[in-house]
Amino acid sequence: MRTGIIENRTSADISVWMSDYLARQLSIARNAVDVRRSFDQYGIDSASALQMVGDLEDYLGHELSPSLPYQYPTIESLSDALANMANP
Amino acid sequence: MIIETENAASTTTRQGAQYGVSAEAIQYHYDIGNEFLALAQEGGRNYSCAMYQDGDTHEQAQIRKLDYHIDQIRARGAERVLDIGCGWGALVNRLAIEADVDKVVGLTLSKEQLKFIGDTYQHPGIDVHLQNWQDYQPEEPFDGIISLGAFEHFAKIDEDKVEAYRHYFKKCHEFLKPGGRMSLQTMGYGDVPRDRQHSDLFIAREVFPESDLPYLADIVRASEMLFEVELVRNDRKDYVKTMRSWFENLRANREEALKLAPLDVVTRYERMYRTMSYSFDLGAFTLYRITFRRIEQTRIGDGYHAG
Repeated sequence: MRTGIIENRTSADISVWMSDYLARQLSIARNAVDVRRSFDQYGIDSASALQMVGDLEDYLGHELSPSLPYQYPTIESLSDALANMANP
Repeated sequence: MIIETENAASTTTRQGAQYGVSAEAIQYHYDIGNEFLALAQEGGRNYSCAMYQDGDTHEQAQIRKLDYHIDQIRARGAERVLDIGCGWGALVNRLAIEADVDKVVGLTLSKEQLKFIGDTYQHPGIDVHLQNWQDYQPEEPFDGIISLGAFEHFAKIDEDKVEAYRHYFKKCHEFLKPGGRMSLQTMGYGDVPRDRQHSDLFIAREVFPESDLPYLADIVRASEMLFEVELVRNDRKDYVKTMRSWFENLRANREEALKLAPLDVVTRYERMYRTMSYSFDLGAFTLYRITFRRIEQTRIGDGYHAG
């Protein structure tokens, strides 16, 4: 939901969330997640990427463009971009 | 009004209906219950893409969509109009009340929808049948046909789509008076390659079993020699908004939803609406509004034959 205030997440927060998320989704060890590795190198298909965008919306508390994982294809770059959107 | 189910001796499922979705598969999605889907929908209970102009609410955009199709087939004041896949009756009602159509016939495979229309809209000009268009035999032809968000069910994922769609156009050709029009609204595939992996899309897996989206080329190909294509619109941006509205409504009604269905079902529907909104945004899916006009023979020679 987009009502209510969620405090702005930092890039580090988002990076941690995404690393945990991918480790769960892909059933890999948390320390095997590389924030500079691209999503398609993880074998994430388009349906899973869209699923992730949806879950990110819920985590961040606002709407997101579904093209984000394509524009920012690593955990690191996407976390930075998302943090900058919240704190322009 | 008449609410008709097929007689007990026949089935509402596969009798005569070779192509596309079975009644059971329709009921998997639509018969989760009137109350549940109502939590996502707006007041008119439209379950197809709205048509937005600046400043429209979802409700207004749904009405604008209905009136668009009514205008496309020149239905105002007409004698007989057919609604194929009539949903929860917003269109049959609009046709009978606002468009002054004398007789409106709706077809659906959903028992819940049939019941809802019977309970909600009592108008002598509206008849609804629990029947597949493949089995339907009208007593008289229609001035026009509208079909909103049903075409996606007319061919199964592994069927020869053009053949199935062609059967649909042949039947519609028979249903119509000479020169009659059909206004079709359907989702379609955009930049999705035809040899894609089906596992990458969840349309047939999770959302609508036994259904698949058409490619525009296949729709038009199937209509050759039966219907002239008068107008094609791709309004996928309208579906970005419509799907987002359904998602937000359902989310906002989460508490109510959980009284009607388990959490995994509620989240499945939420996920579906939001992900579909994304797919329209990205261009993976399109939303076609196509106006067809029945082809009549107009000149000698040329080996004309209807289909």
